[in-house]
Amino acid sequence: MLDLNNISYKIGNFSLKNVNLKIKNSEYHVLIGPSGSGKTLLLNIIAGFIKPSSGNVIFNNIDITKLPPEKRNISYLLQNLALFPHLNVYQNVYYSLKFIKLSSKEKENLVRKYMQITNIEHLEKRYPLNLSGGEKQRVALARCLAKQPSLLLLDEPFSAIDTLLKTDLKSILKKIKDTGVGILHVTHDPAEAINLADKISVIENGNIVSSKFEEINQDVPLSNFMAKFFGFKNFYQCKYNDENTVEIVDSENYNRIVIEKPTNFNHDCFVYIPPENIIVSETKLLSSARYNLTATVISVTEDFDSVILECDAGISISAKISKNSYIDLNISPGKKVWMSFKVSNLNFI
Amino acid sequence: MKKDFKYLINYLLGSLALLFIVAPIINMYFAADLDKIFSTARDSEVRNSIFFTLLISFLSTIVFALFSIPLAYLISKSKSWLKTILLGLVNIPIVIPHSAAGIALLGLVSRENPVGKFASSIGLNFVDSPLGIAIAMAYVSVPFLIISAYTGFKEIPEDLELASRNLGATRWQTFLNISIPLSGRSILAGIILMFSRGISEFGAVIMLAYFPTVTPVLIYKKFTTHGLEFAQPIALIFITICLLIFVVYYLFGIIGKNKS
Repeated sequence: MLDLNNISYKIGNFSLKNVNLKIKNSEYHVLIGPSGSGKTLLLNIIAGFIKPSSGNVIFNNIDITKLPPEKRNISYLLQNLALFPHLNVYQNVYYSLKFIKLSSKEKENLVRKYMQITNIEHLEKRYPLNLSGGEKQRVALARCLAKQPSLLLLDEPFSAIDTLLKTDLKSILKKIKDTGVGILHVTHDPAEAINLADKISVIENGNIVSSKFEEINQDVPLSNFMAKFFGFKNFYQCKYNDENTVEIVDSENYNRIVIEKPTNFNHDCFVYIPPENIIVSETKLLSSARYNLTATVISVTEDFDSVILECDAGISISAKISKNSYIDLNISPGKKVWMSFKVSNLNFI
Repeated sequence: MKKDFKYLINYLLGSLALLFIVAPIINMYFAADLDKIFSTARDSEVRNSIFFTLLISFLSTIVFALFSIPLAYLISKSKSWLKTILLGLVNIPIVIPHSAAGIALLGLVSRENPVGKFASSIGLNFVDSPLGIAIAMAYVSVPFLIISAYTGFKEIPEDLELASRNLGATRWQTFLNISIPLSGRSILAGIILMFSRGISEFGAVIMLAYFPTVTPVLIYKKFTTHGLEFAQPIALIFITICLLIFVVYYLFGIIGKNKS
């Protein structure tokens, strides 16, 4: 659907360098990167607000690099939402159909349809000034969708809303994805990426440094960057070993362990095991957890209400346990423990 | 205490400045002879002149707004170094003496000049005609509209215009549907300023057209031919009209501020 070929652009000291990115039909693609990595700049190029100095933007097999924004069938949810303050909610959503040749009845039906999908029907007559952050977000989303784009660009859509509304918006985005719209979502938040994405790409300093399904080259410490960027512990390279096993590689020191191949594993990628999902015990547990590793506690860090254990299980692995468990298990550095986790705790990226 | 005393000096000096501004107007109202005011207001020459002045200034404001609003928009969107120069150029009529501006305009539209010759050939006469008065009024007052509209356009977040483009509007459609409505208050304020500045113009107008007589010229004529006593009532009526326009402009600004 979208194919960015060697996109380059320089602005001040920053530059996008030969960016290549592919997004397939109906794919939810998350582009993750720290602030100032070039995420928004790339979206602006795709939307046609900025012309790249070199490279091509191919959309549905047509080169749209020189096409003005209004001629691209791409909707862009800007980070600050950009609702028109002089128009009410209905008029804001209607705006995207104002310049399309459709009967007014058809336009009204489309506006109603997307207002319903985004749950904003009751806000129809309200002006943006009188909307909450979450409501504004849904109005902006409905406005983007009413245009019936093939691709939706989302710039940090969760940045300005609270946790409760995030859940709400996530379910709306999943609904949208199910309607066949491709989504390119840029964020700095790894949790969003893991929750929503079919595919994740990582951008750093204007370069796409990793994409899921790409070959992992052990000489390039991509995973180091990703782990560092994600701020995640337990972030490993995951390599296909043979039919029955996979290799988990610690990118810090290239230590590795071999584990039984999970059924949902079919390519080399990264894996993230949330520390809070790891069960720590003194003896091997008889449980549904498929992976049980013996480990030695290396260090203990007490947090406000929990304790982080850094352990050596062949690879460096961390577990987050409650203070009560920490006291009950009488854990101290050097102690041998068992660490257990389920297949569902392996987040492949 | 010493510090407080120094601060009181601000009040004293400020009050004197304010008094300097309002004293002539207040004095005029207090010294006014009501009978003379009413008889002057009934004078058809005065009434026609006021009506004519308001009409010409209104028409010239509307016509020139059609040209100057796009100019203000283009300057506000410009990212070129030329922007500062353009802003300087549009302010020229404010910084030059208005009588000199009138002379410059007269030089351009007189029949000796190619522009004037061409205008004359298509039946447009600027000297001693309403058309000349209109361009003289517009020349000295249009910067107020341009600057006000420019400020309004500048205040529109760029993202709103980008969002409009992304939603399918061309640059022209974005200008009409987003930029104009969102800077409407500034444009209207600019129009009121231009209009009120236009009706009070004397220096530039008199160089191009002594007749038909606009009110500022009529006040001058009455003063030079009949003296202060005859000029004062017309001046008072005209000042009252200008103040009413100013009140509308001022209320407009206050309402705008409260709404935003």
